[in-house]
Amino acid sequence: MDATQQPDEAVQVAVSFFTRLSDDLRVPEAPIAVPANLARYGLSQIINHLLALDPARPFDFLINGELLRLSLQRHLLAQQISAEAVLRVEYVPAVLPPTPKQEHPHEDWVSAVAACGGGNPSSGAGQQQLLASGSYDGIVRLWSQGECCSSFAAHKGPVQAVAAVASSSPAAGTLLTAGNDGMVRLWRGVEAAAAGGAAPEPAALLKGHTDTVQAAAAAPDGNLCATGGWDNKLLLWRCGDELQAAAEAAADAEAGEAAAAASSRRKKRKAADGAAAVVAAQHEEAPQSELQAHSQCVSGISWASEGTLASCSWDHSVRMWDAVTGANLDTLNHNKALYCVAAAPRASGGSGLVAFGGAGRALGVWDCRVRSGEGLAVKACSSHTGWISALAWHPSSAHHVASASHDGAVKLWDLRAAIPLHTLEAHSDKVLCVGWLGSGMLASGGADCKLRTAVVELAGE
Amino acid sequence: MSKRSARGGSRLAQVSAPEPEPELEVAELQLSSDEEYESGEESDLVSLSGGEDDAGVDREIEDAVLGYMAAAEKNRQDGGSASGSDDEGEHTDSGSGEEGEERSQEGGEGRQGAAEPQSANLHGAAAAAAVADDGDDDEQRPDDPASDSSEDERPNRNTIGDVPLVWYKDEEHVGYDAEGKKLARRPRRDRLEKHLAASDNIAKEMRTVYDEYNDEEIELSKEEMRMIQRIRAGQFPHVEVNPYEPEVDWFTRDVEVMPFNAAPEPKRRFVPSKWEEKKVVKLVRALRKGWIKRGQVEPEKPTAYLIWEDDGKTLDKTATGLTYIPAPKLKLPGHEESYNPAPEYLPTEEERNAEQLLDDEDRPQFVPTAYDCLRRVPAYANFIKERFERCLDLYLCPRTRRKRLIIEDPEVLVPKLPKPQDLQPFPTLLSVRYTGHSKVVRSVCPDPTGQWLLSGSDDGTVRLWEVRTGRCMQCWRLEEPVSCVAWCPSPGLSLLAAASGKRLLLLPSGVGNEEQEAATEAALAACTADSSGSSSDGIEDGQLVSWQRWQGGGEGQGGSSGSGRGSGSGGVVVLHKFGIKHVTWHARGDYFATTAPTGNTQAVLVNQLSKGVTQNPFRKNRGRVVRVLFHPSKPFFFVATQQNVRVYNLAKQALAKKLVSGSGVITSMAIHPTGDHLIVGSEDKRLCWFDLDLSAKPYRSLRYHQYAVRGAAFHRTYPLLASSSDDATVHVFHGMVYADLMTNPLIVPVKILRGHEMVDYQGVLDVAFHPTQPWIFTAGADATICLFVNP
Repeated sequence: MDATQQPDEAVQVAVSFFTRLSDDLRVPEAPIAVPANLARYGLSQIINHLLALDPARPFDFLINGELLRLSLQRHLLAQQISAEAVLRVEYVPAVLPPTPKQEHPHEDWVSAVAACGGGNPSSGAGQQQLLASGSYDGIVRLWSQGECCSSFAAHKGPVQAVAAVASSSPAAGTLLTAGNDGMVRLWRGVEAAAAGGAAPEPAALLKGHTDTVQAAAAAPDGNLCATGGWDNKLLLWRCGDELQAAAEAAADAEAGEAAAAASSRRKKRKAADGAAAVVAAQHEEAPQSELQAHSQCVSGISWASEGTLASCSWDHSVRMWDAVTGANLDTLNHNKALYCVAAAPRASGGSGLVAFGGAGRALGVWDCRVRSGEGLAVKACSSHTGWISALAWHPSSAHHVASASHDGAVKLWDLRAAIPLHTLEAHSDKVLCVGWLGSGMLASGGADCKLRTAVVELAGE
Repeated sequence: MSKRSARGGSRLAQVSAPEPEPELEVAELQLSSDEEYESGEESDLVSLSGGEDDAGVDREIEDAVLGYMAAAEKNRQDGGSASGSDDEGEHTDSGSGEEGEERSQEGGEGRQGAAEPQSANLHGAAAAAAVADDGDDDEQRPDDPASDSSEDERPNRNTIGDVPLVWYKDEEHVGYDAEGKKLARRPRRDRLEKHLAASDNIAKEMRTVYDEYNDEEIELSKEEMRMIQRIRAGQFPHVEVNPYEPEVDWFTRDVEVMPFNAAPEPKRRFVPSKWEEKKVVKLVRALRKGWIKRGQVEPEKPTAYLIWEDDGKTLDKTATGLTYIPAPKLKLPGHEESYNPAPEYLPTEEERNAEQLLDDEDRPQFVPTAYDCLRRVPAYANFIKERFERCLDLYLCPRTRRKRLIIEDPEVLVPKLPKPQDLQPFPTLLSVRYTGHSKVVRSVCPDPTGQWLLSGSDDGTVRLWEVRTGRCMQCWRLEEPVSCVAWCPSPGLSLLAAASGKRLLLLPSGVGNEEQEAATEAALAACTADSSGSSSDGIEDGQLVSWQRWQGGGEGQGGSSGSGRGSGSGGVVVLHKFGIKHVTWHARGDYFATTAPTGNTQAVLVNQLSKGVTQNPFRKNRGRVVRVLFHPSKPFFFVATQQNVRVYNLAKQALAKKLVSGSGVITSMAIHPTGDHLIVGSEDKRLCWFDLDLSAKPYRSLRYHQYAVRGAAFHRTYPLLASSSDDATVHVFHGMVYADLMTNPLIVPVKILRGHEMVDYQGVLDVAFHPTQPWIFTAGADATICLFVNP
């Protein structure tokens, strides 16, 4: 190509801009010649100039589904795209750098974070978003508006996972917690507790693990939840309304059979201080089914849709499961122990991608729709300098993933590019958990005993 | 006439005494010429020395006798036996019967006769010269040759002692006897008497000599005369001795008809010699083996060859196998070096100027110069210097050509080992650093699932870490430095053992599930059930150890205060008599063995957890026990003393094997999960791999560390092993063990891990592999623990 030989000469590329944004942000698709040495900023200036936007809005550009990160010329060279034909470039609003918002100090390492309550978590930046954080001291804390509105001792030993369970009833506010003691607990009345009421009451004790439960996740519809732990088990449980009904029925039966002792105990428990006392679960629930394939600790679980979930394990594998039949849909064998997995939510368009991270510095992205032999199924995105400890897929975007690492950084990725969009040097020690609060806020907690939030604008997607 | 001539001859000889050997002809000539002044000479002698003349005359006579006899002999030889005279008769009278035989012999040697008169003359002359000397010095000669011969026979009759007679030459006496009386001189015959006597019997008179010393006259016998004659002729004095006897070859190889010796032939003459036979056998053997080649013709050298062929070339080989380089030759002089070179060789003016501008080193050593004649050529100024430098060059020059290995590809020398990148995974990257200890970390041990990590340190704490996050979950404060921690491998228990000073602590980990914790508590209660009554701190007499409850608990770490695990039950302390350095569990998790290197007879104790009993399996330990180890599957027990490793069969209660590392003090030991291979680290920087099926010697000795090896470990599932050393490095090896017995284990060094610092010459004190991942934990002297993971 001439451009490489004469870089000083202004090589021009014919570009046709298009977008899926609203009409007022649309430019005519007629090809225009732009200098090939322009990068994202230059192209964004052109769009702004064409649209005569005031104030200016940054845009990102996609060429054949790849985010433009280099100059146009070098990108074409790297992707081996001919500069002769008219280049169709899609523009999308750029993601602005996250702005740190709040910092919630903890008494111990923050090991798990989850957004809960507020009805449907994908409903947008609701003001009533509750943040639940699990800590190594075994206490789950609820945060609202930067204040710790409630805290309760959930587990004996560190809490390893916290997950919100979607519920049809808006005020239910069910929370799933799992800890080192091998217990998985379902808490009810989280919203009420956040509003200033009593501590959440344990709805059920999911008993089936014999060792530390490392991961817990609830299905998007809230009817199923999955947990995995150091006993190499991946268990599926009933959850939400169904469990609620079963628990109530069991409670009634229990009350009917042996009333006095149980009820007095329950009363005593209720009377005890909710924050300090370790509360025995009211209802013991057995696992609905066990998904048997992992040979080592199941360290991460993520639901892609209501019926499929992804799990990763220390045995180096990522597996896709059909939750209904319990079949192992697909398996990816990696070469390192894996700690976390995040599947693209079906709600965001279901790209079918699965991101995973573990005892390595690279974030792996697995396209499980690609059959073996059809191309590169796994992409490695390297930017972290430590182990990747947690991943969170944006609830409404098909491309945006937040990753937390032991190097103290939280990175925001657009998986259409190989380098991260933004890096949040949020923590001074290992970051152990990351989660989306709604679609506009990122929360992360780490070994510096802090839970931090940052505002991320993913407008227009 | 014969007498005269003889005398004349003697006279001549007297005159020319100093001359060595006058020729015969000259003697004859003078013999005729000096006849007339013979008398004058005689009178002259008399007048000079009146008293002495008698003696002088005697000499003359004697000489004359000799000369005459020689002449007579000559005559006899010349004329044969025809010249017989009265002399001859005299001879025969005095001689014995054998005389005639002797004479006939002498006649046989006719050739010698011609020379005899001359030699007689010469000897006579010599004697005469001696007389003349006597006359000059006026001295008497006691050792007269004539008198010597008679002295042997006659006793010494001299009675005056050893006194020169010249003192008495004018006296009538010749000395004094013992009484002081004069001894009268014997009356001498005067000249006339002598002459008369000579005319009476000339032969007798001639043989008579005067012995001055004994003062008597002696008549020599005929034999004595002959003897004197022979002595003077330089022959053997005795007549019978013939130095030229014909040699008779008595012992020849010719078989005589009549042999000297009638002894039979010895056996060895006809029996084949044993030694010859041996020699023949040797030769036959050499021929058969081809050491001696027969029928090989030396290639003929061409008759014409280059005589300077070797110039500048190395000879092929010398006897010593060295290849010598001949000294480099000097360049031969050419036209330039001529004293008067042709003008084209001479440097021009410009060249000479240019040379002057050059440095000394660059300037040519020799500049051609023309002289009109050779005499004008000056001495070469640089001669000494150049010669010295050449000598120096020759001296410093290596005279043997170094044989250089020609290796096109050096890689072929390297043993064929797979590349490390083909042997992935193995730990390379430092990922987690566990900080919290304040002193040297002595021991690390991950739990069987790989979720937790135990560490024991010199600061007296045992810490429990979460592997993934590096969080310290528990900390037990023991008073004394913790030398070893070990996790009980039993899946039903959540128990750990820590050796701290003389105490071995069995502690519930506090991170297990409820069932495990209950089982642990039950086990701990059971093992101390017997000794619960005795609350004394010490060890009872006759007991090896004392099992007691221990009430100190672990404490949770981090900021939490409320939810700290109230590990309500303490552990169990097994109080030993000696300081424990190491503890190891049996694979089932019921038995554990402790090592106390200082406890001589109680160095190794095997404890049973379920019963709470302790036994001392070895009544005697040879050497200082460093480590003990249980075989993972078989009833074998490894005891490593400082020098060797003994393998005991616990079922048979016998020593099964003794492994000799042949290296320094053993510091660490680890067994392969299959139980067939053992690695032993020692203080001499070595890691020895023993194949227990092969031999007692190390299969391979890996010496890569710079300081003493402190820890060694095998991975449970991956083919990995590692050794840690005081040089603050950990060496990771790929150690593949094959199932078939034919293939040797493959050991490849794959990685050196650096992450620790040396503190007080201590580096990495312990290593342990993660049970499931290819990760390694290293316990450093810098109070940290590192986790290295695969990239």
